[in-house]
Amino acid sequence: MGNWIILLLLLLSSVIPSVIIFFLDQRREFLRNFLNITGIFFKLLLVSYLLYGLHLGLEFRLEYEIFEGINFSLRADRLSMLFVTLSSVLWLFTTIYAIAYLQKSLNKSLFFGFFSLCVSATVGLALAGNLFTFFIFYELLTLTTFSLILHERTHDAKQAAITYLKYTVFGGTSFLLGLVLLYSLNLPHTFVSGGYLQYAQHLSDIQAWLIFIILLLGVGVKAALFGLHGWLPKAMAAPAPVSALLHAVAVVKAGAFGIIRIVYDIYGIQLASSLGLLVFLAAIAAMTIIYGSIKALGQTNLKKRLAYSTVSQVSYIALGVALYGPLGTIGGIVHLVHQGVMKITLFFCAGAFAKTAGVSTIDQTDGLGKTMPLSALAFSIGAFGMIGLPPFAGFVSKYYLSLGALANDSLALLCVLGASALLNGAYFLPIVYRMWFLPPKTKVVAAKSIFLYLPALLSALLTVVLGLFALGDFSALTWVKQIAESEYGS
Amino acid sequence: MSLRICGVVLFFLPPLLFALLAPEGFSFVADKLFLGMHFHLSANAKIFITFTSLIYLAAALYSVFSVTTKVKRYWLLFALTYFGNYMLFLSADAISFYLFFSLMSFAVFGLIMHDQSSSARRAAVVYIVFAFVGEILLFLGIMQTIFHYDSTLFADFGSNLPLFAQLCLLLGFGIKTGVFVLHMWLPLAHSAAPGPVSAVLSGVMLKTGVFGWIVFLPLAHGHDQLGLILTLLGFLGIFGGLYGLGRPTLKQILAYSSLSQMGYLVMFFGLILQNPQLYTEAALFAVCFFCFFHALSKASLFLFADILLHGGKTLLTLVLSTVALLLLSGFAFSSGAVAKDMLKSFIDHDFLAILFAAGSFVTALLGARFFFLALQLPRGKNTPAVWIPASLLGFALVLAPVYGLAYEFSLLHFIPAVTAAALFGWLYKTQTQLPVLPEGDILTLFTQRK
Repeated sequence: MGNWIILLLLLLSSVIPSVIIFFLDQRREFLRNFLNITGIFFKLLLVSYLLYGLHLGLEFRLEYEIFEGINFSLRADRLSMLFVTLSSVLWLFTTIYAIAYLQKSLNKSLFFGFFSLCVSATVGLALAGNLFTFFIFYELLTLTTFSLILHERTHDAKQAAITYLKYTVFGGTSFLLGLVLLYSLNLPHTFVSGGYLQYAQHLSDIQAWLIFIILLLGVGVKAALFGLHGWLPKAMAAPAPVSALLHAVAVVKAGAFGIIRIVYDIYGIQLASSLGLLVFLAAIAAMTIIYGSIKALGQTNLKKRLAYSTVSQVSYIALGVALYGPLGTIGGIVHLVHQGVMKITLFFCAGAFAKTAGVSTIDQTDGLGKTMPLSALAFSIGAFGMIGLPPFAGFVSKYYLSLGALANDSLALLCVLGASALLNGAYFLPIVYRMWFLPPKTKVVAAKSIFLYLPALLSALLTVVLGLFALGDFSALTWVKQIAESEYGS
Repeated sequence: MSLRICGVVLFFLPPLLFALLAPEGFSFVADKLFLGMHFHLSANAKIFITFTSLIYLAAALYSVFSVTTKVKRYWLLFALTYFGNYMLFLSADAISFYLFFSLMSFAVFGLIMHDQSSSARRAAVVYIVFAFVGEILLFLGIMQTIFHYDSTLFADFGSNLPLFAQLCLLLGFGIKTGVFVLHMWLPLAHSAAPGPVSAVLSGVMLKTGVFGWIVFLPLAHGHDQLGLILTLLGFLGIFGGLYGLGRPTLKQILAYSSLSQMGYLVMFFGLILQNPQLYTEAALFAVCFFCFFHALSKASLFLFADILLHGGKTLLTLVLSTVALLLLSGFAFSSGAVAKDMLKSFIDHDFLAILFAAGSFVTALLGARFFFLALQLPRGKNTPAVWIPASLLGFALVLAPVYGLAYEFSLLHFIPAVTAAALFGWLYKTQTQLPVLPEGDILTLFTQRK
């Protein structure tokens, strides 16, 4: 069990501040922010150390046997570190943003306490070395995000939180059932590149399918797959930092990450393909992609439009997973990073628009290019990235996904990507047009805080960099290519 | 003002110098940038960037005089459009091409919208819908192309492509070229945009579609059915331009004239697709030369039109416009005749050759309409800006000799222009009014009229 202390520290770096913050008085603003930022920086330091250690070939594992055959396991491999890095960096941005956004809000200690616990849960499930550990952190994520959705205590917030709970409890139960069925098989249950289910004796196809569907129902809630996505638009009642969090980093990505782990590290791509599971997943993903985009078109509320856009875009990841071959895999996993960065930009801006200019609906976005040019610029970059225009990050994902679709002889899926891009343009371009070419409708009602648009600009910059320098040594794409290599054993 | 001119020359002259002086075969690779960007100056590309930089320089100089509102935004978008437009000709791989093509297509939206009048808004929105759909079609076509050849480099292209890819590429680039039926954005955009932008649109941007066809399509293989459809659409385009006779504004007449002229190229490509043995370097050169010629003449005409519409109607402007119009319709002793004849020389079907020649009538008629409409404008004053389109016209006049092409005399070259002049002269004398047709030809079938 090598170097387990680092992993533990990584988790504690946000748990400890969280616990302290819970007991802090509301007015101890400075101390709270200090604890938060320190925790994050410490976390980032540990992440860098882990990355460097991995590069040197060190092993980072923590295993603790709870019962026979059931381990609590944490492990830092390339895939987990991808998600951990993404979470930590975007968390830093979101915390800065949240501090500025919630200046006049109440119950800040509760908020930031749960906020930090949320990070821990996300990092925990990213590092999880088996499905059992993943499940523990997955449910912890549900609990912590529940409180965050509820934060403003308005009627809408309460409704949203209740809906969220209904969906996620259903998902959690399904997940638990699937977990039990899986663990009833006599196998060592650690995530392995290439999967381990192919070594299961006496596993009929029907059983494999059943477990897959049940598990998919479990992770599909958070991943907002078609039919299980209902909580997401409602959750827009939460304050913008929470929406940014949910839709870029924590919840939806956790669901998508779960799908990735299940297909690649439990079933293995070969088994999944031969069982026909990939076709099933591809169909659901395609349906979600189109459905989400169509619903987004009909929304007049800005955040709701972004919510449905998320429903659509997260399924790009599922689609990538469902496309057999390194190209599809690369496209799907790299979109985990790219979509996170782009979406968080959009939500940061939406929140800034709401706070600074009282903008909540699409037709109020007129003229924001004049009143809030930097935020409008960041939003435009995010929007162009979402549509998949070059040279932004979104194009790189779409490029690999398209090649993956063609590698699987599916002109239909290629057209799904094309149709989705068309729809994305239909609901994003009018907003960009309004911002830059129409006279402003709303006036600036609150002082512009730099911390409200700086995070958006940084993530917009990342969107550009991840696209323009996609072939660089430290880009997400290069990283993901290595992950794909190990999955396909090439 | 002179500072602005200096700035414009400083920024817009170097690309022209590069176009003129850089050696053919010049290559540059930035393989760690984006998804790997390759650049190459082919013989055809050289022709394209030469007229591109000439026209953008002219348009930029003209803009210094004519653009007075929202100046910063105009120049930013103008620069971005130019950058995209120029670099796509130099691209040696499909992804870089797509990047610059998209940049150009989106940036020009703001230019079309420039004066923010309701007609400008409408034109820009119609444009972007078409352009965006074109973008998506191109994306689909390009992705299948890349997958099929297992490479993004144009050098690896050439063997036959699946139908889906060819169709997407034809349609996607066809929208930009103004292929009939996909052209609906063209007349609106050309007339609503400011003068220099129309010049650039008609002169250069339309040609990017043609260039796209050249580099992407497996022309050596051809495709019978697609070729037939394209020939038909080209034919419809050439004669569809007649709709412009029913439009009462100078710029719209020019737009329909462009539609007609691009129809020649569309039909030519259709013929090549049907008869791939026609696909030779000479044929390609004919296309490029035609593009060069048309770009110069059209751009100068749009600038003249802009001058005429803004109180510049003088004898000088009228005479210069007439020369340009004659040039365009392939009048005797002109580069226009050389360009048209060169294209026609590749057609051995007598029927098609006649159609081709008949197309000159359309151009001549539209030209005559332009002239007589311009005559009716109120008298104005000479402006120094008139030397900008005049220089473009000058270049157009000497284009054939510069490329070492000889002019072959034929009485036929006189006929279209003379007939059209006579016809319109008679209409003018008898004070007959031509019917005014609604703006937007086919588009009006789809949109509700208020």
